[in-house]
Amino acid sequence: MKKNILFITMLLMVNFVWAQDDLLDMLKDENTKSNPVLATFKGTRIITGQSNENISKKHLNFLILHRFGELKDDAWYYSLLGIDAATVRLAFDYGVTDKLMIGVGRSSVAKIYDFNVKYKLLQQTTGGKKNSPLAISYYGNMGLNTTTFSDLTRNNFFTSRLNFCNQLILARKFNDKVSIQITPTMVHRNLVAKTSDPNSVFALGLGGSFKITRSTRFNIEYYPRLNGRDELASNGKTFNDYLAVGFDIETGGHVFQLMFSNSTYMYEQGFVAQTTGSWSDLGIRLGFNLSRTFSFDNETKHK
Amino acid sequence: MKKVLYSTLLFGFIVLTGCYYDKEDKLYPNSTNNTDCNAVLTYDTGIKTIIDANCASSGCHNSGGTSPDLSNYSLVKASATKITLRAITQKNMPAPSGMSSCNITKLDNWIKAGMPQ
Repeated sequence: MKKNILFITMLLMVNFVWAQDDLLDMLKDENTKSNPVLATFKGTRIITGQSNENISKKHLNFLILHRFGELKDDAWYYSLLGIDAATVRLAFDYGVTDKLMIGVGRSSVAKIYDFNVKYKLLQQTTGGKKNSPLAISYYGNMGLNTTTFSDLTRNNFFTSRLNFCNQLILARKFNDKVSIQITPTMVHRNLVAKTSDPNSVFALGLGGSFKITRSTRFNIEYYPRLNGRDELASNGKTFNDYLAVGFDIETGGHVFQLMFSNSTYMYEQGFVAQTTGSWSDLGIRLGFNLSRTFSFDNETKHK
Repeated sequence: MKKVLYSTLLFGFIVLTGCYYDKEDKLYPNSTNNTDCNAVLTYDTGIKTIIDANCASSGCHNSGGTSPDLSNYSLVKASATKITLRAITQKNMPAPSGMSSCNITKLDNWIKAGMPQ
Protein backbone atom coordinates (compact mmCIF):
# COMPACT_ATOMS: atom_id res chain seq x y z
CA MET A 1 0.00 0.00 0.00
CA LYS A 2 2.79 2.36 1.01
CA LYS A 3 4.58 1.58 -2.25
CA ASN A 4 1.50 2.44 -4.21
CA ILE A 5 1.09 5.84 -2.54
CA LEU A 6 4.75 6.63 -3.18
CA PHE A 7 4.36 5.65 -6.81
CA ILE A 8 1.30 7.85 -7.29
CA THR A 9 3.00 10.76 -5.55
CA MET A 10 6.01 10.42 -7.82
CA LEU A 11 3.75 10.31 -10.86
CA LEU A 12 2.03 13.47 -9.73
CA MET A 13 5.37 15.19 -9.17
CA VAL A 14 6.50 14.26 -12.63
CA ASN A 15 3.26 15.65 -13.90
CA PHE A 16 3.91 18.89 -12.07
CA VAL A 17 7.32 19.20 -13.62
CA TRP A 18 5.82 18.61 -17.04
CA ALA A 19 3.11 21.12 -16.35
CA GLN A 20 5.75 23.68 -15.42
CA ASP A 21 7.54 23.06 -18.67
CA ASP A 22 4.31 23.69 -20.53
CA LEU A 23 3.78 26.96 -18.71
CA LEU A 24 7.28 28.12 -19.53
CA ASP A 25 6.69 27.27 -23.18
CA MET A 26 3.54 29.33 -23.12
CA LEU A 27 5.43 32.26 -21.67
CA LYS A 28 7.99 31.98 -24.44
CA ASP A 29 5.21 32.05 -27.02
CA GLU A 30 3.76 35.16 -25.45
CA ASN A 31 7.14 36.81 -25.47
CA THR A 32 7.43 36.67 -29.21
CA LYS A 33 4.01 38.29 -29.67
CA SER A 34 4.10 42.09 -29.63
CA ASN A 35 1.70 44.03 -27.46
CA PRO A 36 0.44 47.54 -28.12
CA VAL A 37 1.77 50.24 -25.82
CA LEU A 38 -1.25 51.97 -24.34
CA ALA A 39 -1.81 55.25 -22.48
CA THR A 40 1.16 57.20 -23.83
CA PHE A 41 -0.69 60.31 -22.68
CA LYS A 42 -3.67 60.64 -20.39
CA GLY A 43 -5.89 62.52 -22.81
CA THR A 44 -6.38 63.26 -26.47
CA ARG A 45 -4.38 66.44 -25.85
CA ILE A 46 -1.06 66.93 -24.10
CA ILE A 47 -2.12 70.43 -23.06
CA THR A 48 -3.75 72.33 -25.92
CA GLY A 49 -2.06 70.49 -28.78
CA GLN A 50 -3.07 67.00 -29.80
CA SER A 51 -1.44 63.88 -28.37
CA ASN A 52 -1.32 60.54 -30.20
CA GLU A 53 -4.26 59.24 -28.14
CA ASN A 54 -7.67 58.60 -29.69
CA ILE A 55 -11.10 57.99 -28.24
CA SER A 56 -12.00 54.31 -28.54
CA LYS A 57 -14.60 53.09 -30.99
CA LYS A 58 -18.19 54.30 -30.51
CA HIS A 59 -17.21 56.60 -27.68
CA LEU A 60 -18.00 60.30 -27.53
CA ASN A 61 -15.72 62.69 -25.70
CA PHE A 62 -17.12 66.02 -24.58
CA LEU A 63 -14.47 68.66 -23.88
CA ILE A 64 -14.78 72.00 -22.17
CA LEU A 65 -11.65 74.12 -22.52
CA HIS A 66 -11.10 77.46 -20.80
CA ARG A 67 -8.34 80.04 -21.05
CA PHE A 68 -8.55 83.07 -18.81
CA GLY A 69 -7.15 86.60 -18.99
CA GLU A 70 -3.44 87.40 -18.96
CA LEU A 71 -2.00 87.50 -15.46
CA LYS A 72 -0.32 90.86 -16.08
CA ASP A 73 -3.62 92.57 -16.97
CA ASP A 74 -4.85 93.04 -13.42
CA ALA A 75 -3.72 92.40 -9.89
CA TRP A 76 -4.37 88.68 -9.37
CA TYR A 77 -7.06 89.27 -6.73
CA TYR A 78 -8.88 91.89 -8.85
CA SER A 79 -9.82 89.55 -11.70
CA LEU A 80 -9.07 86.37 -9.70
CA LEU A 81 -6.10 85.22 -11.81
CA GLY A 82 -7.82 86.41 -15.00
CA ILE A 83 -10.92 84.27 -14.56
CA ASP A 84 -13.14 87.31 -15.20
CA ALA A 85 -11.90 87.39 -18.80
CA ALA A 86 -12.74 83.79 -19.70
CA THR A 87 -12.71 82.33 -23.19
CA VAL A 88 -14.13 78.91 -23.97
CA ARG A 89 -13.97 76.15 -26.56
CA LEU A 90 -16.59 73.42 -26.54
CA ALA A 91 -15.76 70.28 -28.48
CA PHE A 92 -17.02 66.82 -29.28
CA ASP A 93 -14.68 64.01 -30.36
CA TYR A 94 -16.10 60.74 -31.62
CA GLY A 95 -14.29 57.47 -32.21
CA VAL A 96 -15.51 56.07 -35.53
CA THR A 97 -13.09 53.18 -35.17
CA ASP A 98 -10.34 52.61 -32.66
CA LYS A 99 -7.99 54.29 -35.13
CA LEU A 100 -10.13 57.07 -36.58
CA MET A 101 -11.48 59.95 -34.55
CA ILE A 102 -13.53 62.85 -35.87
CA GLY A 103 -14.36 66.00 -33.99
CA VAL A 104 -16.05 69.36 -34.06
CA GLY A 105 -15.46 72.36 -31.83
CA ARG A 106 -16.41 75.96 -31.36
CA SER A 107 -14.18 78.63 -29.83
CA SER A 108 -15.36 81.94 -28.45
CA VAL A 109 -12.10 83.54 -29.66
CA ALA A 110 -12.75 84.75 -33.25
CA LYS A 111 -16.00 82.71 -33.21
CA ILE A 112 -14.28 79.76 -34.84
CA TYR A 113 -15.89 76.44 -35.68
CA ASP A 114 -13.36 73.70 -36.31
CA PHE A 115 -13.73 70.28 -37.87
CA ASN A 116 -10.98 67.77 -37.28
CA VAL A 117 -9.85 64.23 -37.88
CA LYS A 118 -7.14 62.14 -36.25
CA TYR A 119 -5.97 58.81 -37.59
CA LYS A 120 -3.60 56.34 -35.96
CA LEU A 121 -1.14 55.28 -38.63
CA LEU A 122 1.12 53.20 -36.41
CA GLN A 123 0.88 51.88 -32.87
CA GLN A 124 3.93 51.62 -30.63
CA THR A 125 4.44 47.97 -29.64
CA THR A 126 6.54 46.06 -27.16
CA GLY A 127 7.51 42.49 -26.28
CA GLY A 128 7.61 41.05 -29.77
CA LYS A 129 10.49 40.14 -32.03
CA LYS A 130 9.71 43.11 -34.25
CA ASN A 131 8.47 46.15 -32.36
CA SER A 132 7.50 49.61 -33.43
CA PRO A 133 9.44 52.09 -31.29
CA LEU A 134 7.09 54.95 -32.22
CA ALA A 135 3.42 55.72 -32.43
CA ILE A 136 2.51 57.79 -35.49
CA SER A 137 -0.76 59.65 -36.02
CA TYR A 138 -2.06 62.20 -38.50
CA TYR A 139 -4.16 65.11 -37.32
CA GLY A 140 -5.97 67.52 -39.63
CA ASN A 141 -8.13 70.46 -38.73
CA MET A 142 -10.19 72.96 -40.72
CA GLY A 143 -11.22 76.16 -38.99
CA LEU A 144 -14.07 78.44 -40.02
CA ASN A 145 -13.92 81.99 -38.73
CA THR A 146 -17.46 83.32 -38.41
CA THR A 147 -16.79 86.87 -37.23
CA THR A 148 -18.17 89.72 -39.36
CA PHE A 149 -15.64 90.86 -41.97
CA SER A 150 -13.76 94.00 -40.94
CA ASP A 151 -14.80 95.81 -44.14
CA LEU A 152 -18.21 94.96 -45.54
CA THR A 153 -17.92 97.24 -48.58
CA ARG A 154 -15.14 95.23 -50.22
CA ASN A 155 -15.67 91.95 -52.06
CA ASN A 156 -15.30 89.36 -49.30
CA PHE A 157 -14.76 85.69 -50.06
CA PHE A 158 -15.95 82.70 -48.08
CA THR A 159 -12.54 81.06 -48.51
CA SER A 160 -10.98 83.93 -46.54
CA ARG A 161 -12.72 82.51 -43.46
CA LEU A 162 -10.95 79.15 -43.71
CA ASN A 163 -7.71 78.02 -42.16
CA PHE A 164 -6.12 74.60 -41.92
CA CYS A 165 -3.72 72.55 -39.87
CA ASN A 166 -1.86 69.36 -40.77
CA GLN A 167 0.15 67.51 -38.16
CA LEU A 168 2.22 64.38 -38.02
CA ILE A 169 2.31 63.15 -34.46
CA LEU A 170 5.35 61.07 -33.49
CA ALA A 171 5.08 59.83 -29.92
CA ARG A 172 7.03 57.41 -27.79
CA LYS A 173 6.30 56.13 -24.32
CA PHE A 174 9.72 55.41 -22.84
CA ASN A 175 8.36 53.89 -19.63
CA ASP A 176 5.48 54.42 -17.23
CA LYS A 177 6.96 57.72 -16.18
CA VAL A 178 8.07 59.48 -19.37
CA SER A 179 6.38 60.04 -22.74
CA ILE A 180 7.79 62.35 -25.40
CA GLN A 181 6.17 63.62 -28.59
CA ILE A 182 7.47 65.44 -31.66
CA THR A 183 4.82 67.13 -33.77
CA PRO A 184 5.79 68.62 -37.15
CA THR A 185 2.98 71.06 -37.87
CA MET A 186 1.82 73.03 -40.90
CA VAL A 187 -0.74 75.77 -40.42
CA HIS A 188 -2.30 77.45 -43.43
CA ARG A 189 -4.35 80.65 -43.42
CA ASN A 190 -6.18 81.48 -46.66
CA LEU A 191 -5.97 85.21 -45.97
CA VAL A 192 -3.17 87.04 -44.17
CA ALA A 193 -2.77 90.76 -43.64
CA LYS A 194 0.45 91.59 -45.46
CA THR A 195 2.30 90.44 -48.55
CA SER A 196 5.29 89.65 -46.35
CA ASP A 197 3.25 87.36 -44.08
CA PRO A 198 3.43 83.69 -45.10
CA ASN A 199 0.09 81.94 -45.62
CA SER A 200 1.64 78.68 -44.46
CA VAL A 201 3.46 78.61 -41.15
CA PHE A 202 5.57 75.60 -40.17
CA ALA A 203 6.35 74.66 -36.60
CA LEU A 204 8.06 71.81 -34.83
CA GLY A 205 5.94 70.97 -31.83
CA LEU A 206 7.58 69.34 -28.83
CA GLY A 207 5.67 67.81 -25.97
CA GLY A 208 6.33 65.72 -22.92
CA SER A 209 4.47 64.09 -20.09
CA PHE A 210 6.03 63.02 -16.79
CA LYS A 211 4.37 60.95 -14.10
CA ILE A 212 4.22 62.41 -10.61
CA THR A 213 1.77 60.16 -8.78
CA ARG A 214 -0.63 57.42 -9.89
CA SER A 215 -3.26 59.91 -11.05
CA THR A 216 -1.26 63.07 -11.81
CA ARG A 217 1.23 63.91 -14.51
CA PHE A 218 3.25 67.01 -15.36
CA ASN A 219 3.07 68.13 -19.01
CA ILE A 220 4.98 70.60 -21.14
CA GLU A 221 4.37 71.74 -24.70
CA TYR A 222 6.34 74.06 -27.01
CA TYR A 223 5.68 74.94 -30.67
CA PRO A 224 8.58 76.95 -32.09
CA ARG A 225 7.77 78.34 -35.56
CA LEU A 226 10.21 77.78 -38.39
CA ASN A 227 9.04 80.66 -40.61
CA GLY A 228 6.91 83.79 -40.40
CA ARG A 229 8.57 84.89 -37.20
CA ASP A 230 8.35 88.60 -38.06
CA GLU A 231 4.61 88.63 -38.70
CA LEU A 232 3.01 91.42 -36.70
CA ALA A 233 -0.04 91.13 -34.46
CA SER A 234 -2.62 93.91 -34.32
CA ASN A 235 -0.78 95.35 -31.30
CA GLY A 236 2.25 96.05 -33.52
CA LYS A 237 4.45 93.41 -31.87
CA THR A 238 5.55 90.13 -33.41
CA PHE A 239 3.71 86.95 -32.51
CA ASN A 240 5.35 84.64 -29.96
CA ASP A 241 5.97 80.92 -29.92
CA TYR A 242 3.45 78.95 -27.93
CA LEU A 243 4.66 77.47 -24.64
CA ALA A 244 2.53 75.85 -21.97
CA VAL A 245 3.04 73.82 -18.80
CA GLY A 246 0.32 71.94 -17.00
CA PHE A 247 -0.88 69.07 -14.87
CA ASP A 248 -3.21 66.17 -15.63
CA ILE A 249 -5.42 65.02 -12.81
CA GLU A 250 -7.44 61.89 -13.49
CA THR A 251 -10.59 61.22 -11.50
CA GLY A 252 -12.75 58.32 -12.65
CA GLY A 253 -14.19 59.06 -16.07
CA HIS A 254 -12.82 62.60 -16.10
CA VAL A 255 -9.44 63.94 -17.03
CA PHE A 256 -8.89 67.35 -15.58
CA GLN A 257 -6.01 69.35 -17.07
CA LEU A 258 -4.78 72.53 -15.44
CA MET A 259 -2.24 74.72 -17.24
CA PHE A 260 -0.47 78.01 -17.75
CA SER A 261 -0.13 79.01 -21.40
CA ASN A 262 0.73 82.15 -23.35
CA SER A 263 -2.04 81.67 -25.92
CA THR A 264 -5.73 82.37 -25.71
CA TYR A 265 -6.40 80.05 -28.64
CA MET A 266 -7.46 76.46 -28.06
CA TYR A 267 -6.94 75.12 -31.58
CA GLU A 268 -3.78 74.66 -33.65
CA GLN A 269 -4.17 77.41 -36.27
CA GLY A 270 -4.49 79.91 -33.43
CA PHE A 271 -1.88 78.89 -30.91
CA VAL A 272 0.83 77.97 -33.43
CA ALA A 273 0.61 81.10 -35.57
CA GLN A 274 -1.17 83.76 -33.52
CA THR A 275 0.06 83.56 -29.95
CA THR A 276 0.45 87.09 -28.57
CA GLY A 277 1.29 86.49 -24.92
CA SER A 278 4.84 86.39 -23.62
CA TRP A 279 6.20 84.41 -20.70
CA SER A 280 8.85 87.05 -20.00
CA ASP A 281 6.38 89.70 -18.78
CA LEU A 282 3.72 87.39 -17.25
CA GLY A 283 1.56 87.59 -20.37
CA ILE A 284 0.35 84.10 -19.55
CA ARG A 285 -3.06 82.67 -18.87
CA LEU A 286 -4.45 80.16 -16.45
CA GLY A 287 -6.64 77.57 -18.12
CA PHE A 288 -8.16 74.16 -17.83
CA ASN A 289 -9.50 71.32 -19.97
CA LEU A 290 -12.30 69.12 -18.72
CA SER A 291 -13.28 66.00 -20.57
CA ARG A 292 -15.97 63.41 -20.08
CA THR A 293 -16.36 60.28 -22.21
CA PHE A 294 -19.73 58.74 -23.05
CA SER A 295 -20.04 55.24 -24.45
CA PHE A 296 -22.36 54.32 -27.32
CA ASP A 297 -20.91 50.87 -27.59
CA ASN A 298 -23.76 48.51 -26.63
CA GLU A 299 -21.52 45.43 -26.64
CA THR A 300 -19.22 46.68 -23.91
CA LYS A 301 -22.10 48.23 -21.99
CA HIS A 302 -23.85 44.90 -21.42
CA LYS A 303 -20.73 43.08 -20.31
CA MET B 1 -15.56 50.72 -43.39
CA LYS B 2 -16.57 52.13 -46.77
CA LYS B 3 -18.22 55.04 -45.03
CA VAL B 4 -15.00 55.77 -43.20
CA LEU B 5 -13.05 55.71 -46.44
CA TYR B 6 -15.50 58.05 -48.16
CA SER B 7 -15.60 60.53 -45.31
CA THR B 8 -11.80 60.57 -45.17
CA LEU B 9 -11.67 61.19 -48.92
CA LEU B 10 -14.27 63.94 -48.63
CA PHE B 11 -12.33 65.63 -45.85
CA GLY B 12 -9.12 65.37 -47.87
CA PHE B 13 -10.91 66.88 -50.85
CA ILE B 14 -12.07 69.87 -48.81
CA VAL B 15 -8.59 70.36 -47.39
CA LEU B 16 -6.90 70.19 -50.79
CA THR B 17 -9.34 72.39 -52.72
CA GLY B 18 -9.97 74.92 -49.99
CA CYS B 19 -6.42 76.18 -49.90
CA TYR B 20 -5.80 79.79 -51.00
CA TYR B 21 -2.81 82.11 -50.71
CA ASP B 22 -4.54 85.49 -50.38
CA LYS B 23 -2.92 88.58 -48.91
CA GLU B 24 -5.24 91.25 -47.57
CA ASP B 25 -3.10 94.16 -48.78
CA LYS B 26 -2.91 92.79 -52.33
CA LEU B 27 -6.49 91.58 -52.50
CA TYR B 28 -7.93 94.86 -51.22
CA PRO B 29 -5.32 97.52 -52.07
CA ASN B 30 -7.77 100.41 -51.70
CA SER B 31 -9.35 99.14 -48.53
CA THR B 32 -9.35 101.54 -45.59
CA ASN B 33 -7.90 98.67 -43.58
CA ASN B 34 -4.92 98.37 -45.90
CA THR B 35 -2.02 98.49 -43.51
CA ASP B 36 0.92 98.33 -45.91
CA CYS B 37 1.83 101.97 -46.49
CA ASN B 38 4.71 101.09 -48.80
CA ALA B 39 2.63 99.18 -51.34
CA VAL B 40 2.80 100.75 -54.80
CA LEU B 41 -0.80 101.35 -55.86
CA THR B 42 -2.46 102.32 -59.12
CA TYR B 43 -5.02 105.08 -59.54
CA ASP B 44 -7.90 102.60 -59.68
CA THR B 45 -6.72 100.39 -56.85
CA GLY B 46 -6.23 102.92 -54.11
CA ILE B 47 -5.14 106.41 -55.18
CA LYS B 48 -8.62 107.40 -56.35
CA THR B 49 -10.02 106.49 -52.91
CA ILE B 50 -7.38 108.62 -51.18
CA ILE B 51 -7.90 111.61 -53.48
CA ASP B 52 -11.70 111.37 -53.40
CA ALA B 53 -11.69 111.29 -49.62
CA ASN B 54 -9.04 113.97 -49.06
CA CYS B 55 -9.09 116.34 -52.06
CA ALA B 56 -11.99 115.87 -54.49
CA SER B 57 -14.67 115.94 -51.82
CA SER B 58 -17.78 118.01 -52.44
CA GLY B 59 -17.08 121.74 -52.45
CA CYS B 60 -13.30 121.31 -52.71
CA HIS B 61 -11.27 120.04 -55.70
CA ASN B 62 -14.18 118.33 -57.43
CA SER B 63 -15.71 119.30 -60.77
CA GLY B 64 -17.27 122.74 -60.37
CA GLY B 65 -15.30 123.32 -57.16
CA THR B 66 -12.01 124.98 -56.38
CA SER B 67 -9.15 124.74 -58.92
CA PRO B 68 -7.45 122.39 -59.58
CA ASP B 69 -10.16 119.87 -60.37
CA LEU B 70 -9.02 116.40 -59.15
CA SER B 71 -12.10 114.36 -60.01
CA ASN B 72 -10.62 111.98 -62.58
CA TYR B 73 -7.32 110.34 -63.59
CA SER B 74 -6.20 112.72 -66.37
CA LEU B 75 -6.97 115.81 -64.28
CA VAL B 76 -5.07 114.39 -61.28
CA LYS B 77 -2.11 113.51 -63.53
CA ALA B 78 -2.07 117.06 -64.95
CA SER B 79 -1.94 118.53 -61.43
CA ALA B 80 0.82 116.24 -60.14
CA THR B 81 3.25 119.09 -59.45
CA LYS B 82 0.72 120.99 -57.35
CA ILE B 83 -0.25 117.84 -55.45
CA THR B 84 3.41 117.08 -54.73
CA LEU B 85 3.99 120.60 -53.42
CA ARG B 86 0.97 120.99 -51.15
CA ALA B 87 0.20 117.44 -50.02
CA ILE B 88 3.63 115.77 -49.96
CA THR B 89 6.26 118.50 -49.47
CA GLN B 90 4.47 121.21 -47.49
CA LYS B 91 1.98 118.76 -45.92
CA ASN B 92 -0.67 121.49 -45.52
CA MET B 93 -3.33 120.19 -47.93
CA PRO B 94 -5.99 119.24 -47.09
CA ALA B 95 -5.89 122.25 -44.79
CA PRO B 96 -4.66 122.72 -42.26
CA SER B 97 -2.44 119.73 -41.43
CA GLY B 98 -2.32 117.47 -44.47
CA MET B 99 -3.03 113.76 -44.90
CA SER B 100 -2.00 110.81 -42.77
CA SER B 101 1.65 109.85 -43.23
CA CYS B 102 0.53 106.51 -44.67
CA ASN B 103 -1.52 108.22 -47.40
CA ILE B 104 1.36 110.63 -48.12
CA THR B 105 3.72 107.67 -48.62
CA LYS B 106 1.24 105.93 -50.91
CA LEU B 107 0.73 109.09 -52.97
CA ASP B 108 4.46 109.77 -53.14
CA ASN B 109 5.20 106.22 -54.29
CA TRP B 110 2.47 106.46 -56.90
CA ILE B 111 3.81 109.70 -58.39
CA LYS B 112 7.39 108.39 -58.35
CA ALA B 113 6.20 105.23 -60.13
CA GLY B 114 4.92 107.36 -63.00
CA MET B 115 1.30 107.56 -61.87
CA PRO B 116 -0.02 104.22 -63.21
CA GLN B 117 -3.74 104.29 -63.89
